Amino acid sequence: MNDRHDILPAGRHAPRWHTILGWITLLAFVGAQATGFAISAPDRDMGHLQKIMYVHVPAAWMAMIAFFVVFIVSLIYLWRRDERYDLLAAAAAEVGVVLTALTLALGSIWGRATWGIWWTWDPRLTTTAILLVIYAGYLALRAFAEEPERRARWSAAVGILGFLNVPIVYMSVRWWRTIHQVQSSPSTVDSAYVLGLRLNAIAFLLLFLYLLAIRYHASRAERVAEARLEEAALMGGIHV
Amino acid sequence: MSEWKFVGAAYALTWVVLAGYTIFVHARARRARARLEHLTATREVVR
Repeated sequence: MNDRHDILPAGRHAPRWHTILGWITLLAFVGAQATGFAISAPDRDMGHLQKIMYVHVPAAWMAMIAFFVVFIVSLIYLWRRDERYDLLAAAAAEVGVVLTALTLALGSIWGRATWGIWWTWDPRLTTTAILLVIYAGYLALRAFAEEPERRARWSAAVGILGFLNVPIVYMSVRWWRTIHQVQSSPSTVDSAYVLGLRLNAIAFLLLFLYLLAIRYHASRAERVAEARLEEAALMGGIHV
Repeated sequence: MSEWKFVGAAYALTWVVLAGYTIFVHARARRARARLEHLTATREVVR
């Protein structure tokens, strides 16, 4: 692997900008959550349950962005065959899986409070659960395939094909009869809730970028270490 | 009052999951860097 010109070189210390981004993310997250929690008035129908939107909706958006990153970076990998893109796709997929699982769990809590049920086989819920299974499968595939190039090729194929489900998830509330409300966005929610939603979306985006950077950095360090072990084995001699 | 129970659960879950995953990722990165440093030092000794 080429360490030169690497945007995230594998080294002893994490790049300084990781620490700076981490603190900015923490401050943004606390500020956005406090704003959403404190200033938004109770909704006419849902009352204070509306506040769940500030965590459920941004988590769902960032999960979709994460899988979009997997899609784009997987395409680039197949074109360039540079392992760094494979590692970046894997990092994005892992963060996306965590965010999708969180989205489903938060939706379940919200559903129990408003619909009276924890789960139903509604099109939005079902397609989101399928999305989670697809990318959990992507991570399982990576865990089982040992040969790096084959693992990267197979993963890229799953990452690209799996993304086909993302627009289906997004449009499911319009294409089928569903008890889930239409997509929440600054244009579909009441103006009183737009600020809180925007701030939390920015905070979640910063968190996504931060987690992606650290996860990718860890993968790079692991791969460089693996390469050094192989090199040592070829030289016939380091026992670690 | 029961509304707050659900809201509190949602926010607590969010913080626990995201903080937990951040700690996991940090620990993994730290382990990987330590391993890499060890291998690099060993390689320098051999050379």
